Amino acid sequence: MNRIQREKFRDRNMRQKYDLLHIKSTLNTPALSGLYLKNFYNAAKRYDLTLPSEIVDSDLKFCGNCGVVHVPLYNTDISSTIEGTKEMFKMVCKKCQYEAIFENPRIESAKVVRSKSNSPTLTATLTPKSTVTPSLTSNKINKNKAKDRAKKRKNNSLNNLLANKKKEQNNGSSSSLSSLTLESFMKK
Amino acid sequence: MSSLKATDKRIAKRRQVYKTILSNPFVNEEHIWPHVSNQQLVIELLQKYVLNKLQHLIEMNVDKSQWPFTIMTDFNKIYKYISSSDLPTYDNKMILFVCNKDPDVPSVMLQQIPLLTSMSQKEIILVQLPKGTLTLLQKYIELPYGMLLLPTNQFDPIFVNQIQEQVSKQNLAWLKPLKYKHTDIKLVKSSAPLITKNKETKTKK
Repeated sequence: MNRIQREKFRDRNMRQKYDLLHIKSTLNTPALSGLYLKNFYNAAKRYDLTLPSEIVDSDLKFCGNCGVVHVPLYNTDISSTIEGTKEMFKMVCKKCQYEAIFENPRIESAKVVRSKSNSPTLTATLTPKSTVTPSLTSNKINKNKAKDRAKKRKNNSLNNLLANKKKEQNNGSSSSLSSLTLESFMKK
Repeated sequence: MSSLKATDKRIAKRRQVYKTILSNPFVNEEHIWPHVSNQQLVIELLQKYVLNKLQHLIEMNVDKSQWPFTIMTDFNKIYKYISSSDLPTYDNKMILFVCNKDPDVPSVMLQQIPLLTSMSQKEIILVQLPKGTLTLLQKYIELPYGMLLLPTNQFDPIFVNQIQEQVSKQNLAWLKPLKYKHTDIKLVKSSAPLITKNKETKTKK
């Protein structure tokens, strides 16, 4: 097999394994899904493929215990509780009763106290131009800052400092040159 | 033997690309969220038909129980509403707005929402909203999960139709067989020709 054939084979192989994982849930044989999942992961490892975190993360797409694909309403129940500043998502696999709990920071409730003067501006933000411009301006400000910082950094580098000194010495008239003489040195 | 320069050139000619290996129409993971053709229009519609009314109601201090329409934002309530099967038929259609591009919305939940809507027995129009909509919506109503469910029968049908036109249909082939129960039928009553001489009987299954 040459390189292209090998890649094609790999793609087909992985795709088939991935499809099988999804078909498994429809075939009513949950006992096998763990096996297929492991097979898929092993193949990914063998081919040196980095899978996205949505697939690899434990308990997220596949049940951490039996390996079945999570499908809400069919084999998974999802519920959420709020505890203080955190949201807890609970996914319960109906096949093996395995519970996976995810913690998330809660979305901040930005309950705005609306005053009458405030309302027109709210509607104005809807137009595409106004939504685009603030982001653009903020970008510009950031860019300028970055540029300034880069300039400063350049100026501070050793090479530039030396160059500046040389320039000064060249421009700095005879006084600096004369300073090299013993007399001027003594005067100082 | 080729020179070092030549091999260097040959290697440099190849560029690094990323290919999708797992994408296929069966699992269809990259199009798991239905495509919205004109996002700006969707937001404008939402603003005109829902948010502006909400603002009036809040300004007039109308109690939530007396609002002319119901709005659901809590995940558990939405989940229950979608999964319940004893709703009257006129309640079967709904629009679910999800701010799936905003970073604050939990990704664990987002991953399951498209599956949830396509698995439901009801007709749900799933609409993904562009980035930054969460902050806009939160000016009017608290969205603890970045989701907004509207039963369509309480809203203007023009609004519903226009939203529906903008959103493509969900197509997750692998979920389709899951929606239906397996049949327990093993034998089907049928008819077979009468036996003639030595021919074997043919039975239809």
